Amino acid sequence: MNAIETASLTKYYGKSRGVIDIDLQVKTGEIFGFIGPNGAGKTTTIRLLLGLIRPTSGEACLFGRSVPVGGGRLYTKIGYVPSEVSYYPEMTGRDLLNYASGFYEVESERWVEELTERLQFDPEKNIRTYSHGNLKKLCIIQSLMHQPQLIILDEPGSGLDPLIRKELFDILEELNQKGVTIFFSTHALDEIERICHRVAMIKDGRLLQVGPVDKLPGRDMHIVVMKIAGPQPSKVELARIGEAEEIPAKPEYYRILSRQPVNLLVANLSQYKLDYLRISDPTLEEIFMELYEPAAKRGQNSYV
Amino acid sequence: MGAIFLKELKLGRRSLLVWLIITLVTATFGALEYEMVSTNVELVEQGINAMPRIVRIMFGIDGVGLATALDYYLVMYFWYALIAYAHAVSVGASLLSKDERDKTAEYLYTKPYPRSAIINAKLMVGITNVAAMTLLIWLTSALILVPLTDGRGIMPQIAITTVGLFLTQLLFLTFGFLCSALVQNPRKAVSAGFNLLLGTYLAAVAIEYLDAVIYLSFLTPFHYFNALVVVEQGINPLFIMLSAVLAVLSLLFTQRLYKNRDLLI
Repeated sequence: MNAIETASLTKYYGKSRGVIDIDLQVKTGEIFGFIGPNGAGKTTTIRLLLGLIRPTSGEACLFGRSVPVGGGRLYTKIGYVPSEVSYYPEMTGRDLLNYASGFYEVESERWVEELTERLQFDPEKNIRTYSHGNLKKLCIIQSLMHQPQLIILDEPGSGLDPLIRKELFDILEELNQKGVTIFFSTHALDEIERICHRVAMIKDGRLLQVGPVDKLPGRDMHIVVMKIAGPQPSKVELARIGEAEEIPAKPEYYRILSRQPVNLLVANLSQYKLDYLRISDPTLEEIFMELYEPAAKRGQNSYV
Repeated sequence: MGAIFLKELKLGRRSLLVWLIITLVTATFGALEYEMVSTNVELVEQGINAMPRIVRIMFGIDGVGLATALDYYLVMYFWYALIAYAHAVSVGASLLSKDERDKTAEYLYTKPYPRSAIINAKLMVGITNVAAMTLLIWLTSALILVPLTDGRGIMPQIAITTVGLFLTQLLFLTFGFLCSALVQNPRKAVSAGFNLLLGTYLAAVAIEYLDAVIYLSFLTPFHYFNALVVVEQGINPLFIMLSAVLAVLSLLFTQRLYKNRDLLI
């Protein structure tokens, strides 16, 4: 039985497109990433899975049961972390956690305390004093406290500092090793690459590709930014490395989209006397463009 | 569901306190005015009779004297009723819509309860709020107005009119819930509730002005348990049934509409 299954799931907001014909299967026990640019339909899909909004057509099932628009006991198995968190400002974090525990049979207060400690969260403060990051931490604790079987997170890393983000993903991996299914949406490729088993790419409301992480388009791509000292190479020479362009704001700097294997790339770059070199992953946009139009132009907003 | 009930009750306590204070201040001013009124009854009644009839109806003083304790209570009852019905409809409209307004809907509606259970819990909170308002009105009448007017004899009338007040409040509470289910925008839901209250009030004024109360009183809850009628004739069981039917229908529609609609997140 799949933890999540959708069939032709479609949502229109009036005439505006939400998502169209989403067919997803998330196996029980896997970590599934859902990646796409802003406005692609990630949050809409998640809200449809949780019954917060009603599909225009199609169906979503969680653990084999059709998602009830209207909530129900199915949600004892689910923990949810939205991208934007809002709670009751009069409460303290502790009040909120106590309130949340009233909805579930929270067996382990020790688990809650462990989460609080690992995420470095102080629950005794008033919610209105919490920063965005602390609200996120509170939400994470609140969503995991009842030890759900399925955790759905919408951009879980946003608002968290790198150390806490790492801790969160450590926690998610540990839970997954115990059989918990994780489904999360993100912009960040590194999050996908770090823990996901499979990933779905969505753009303009439609699924583009679903598959293992190591088959993600653009994984063989590298962005090279370099400044060459001495004689400048010709376009033909640079083309051997990849699609090169000068950076308008920085003369003598080049930005190259290369698909060469790493060792070959490094060997080619070593031919030049370099004043500056940076090799990084492609942006999400570049990966999506690779999927759409492998030979398309890159965006012009690159900067050193 | 108990957790939702207790938490919502706690979250709404400040708002309830404000409404109770408004009621208490109104009762206090009424009490303070009594001495002046009671020593100048004829003069005050002359002034009232000089007003246009429509104005007397709008202020609930048409056909009501000021000579007795009961008369004065009936005049005050009008103001208590206005405040209580406004409170009831605003509680109903805001209880359901505030989660979307305050962006806590994603928290509450992903808990393991169907929306119907959450609505029912909030309804219980609404009823508790309305009951608190009714209790205060009864207490201010019994403890402030009665001693001041030497009106111990009118306690039964106070009791029965208070029952009518409570039943009408419950009806407006359910109307408030229906408004929040019908109107997606949380702020507009409360406005819709107040507009409904205003509409039923104006309908009541028009019906009374046209001397059509006997035929058309069923059109507005303001006439279901009119204090003067209740004092003279008791509570009409037909209006109890009508109120119950309207309240149940409002809640059924609320459940149905809210269950299937998108939450505004």
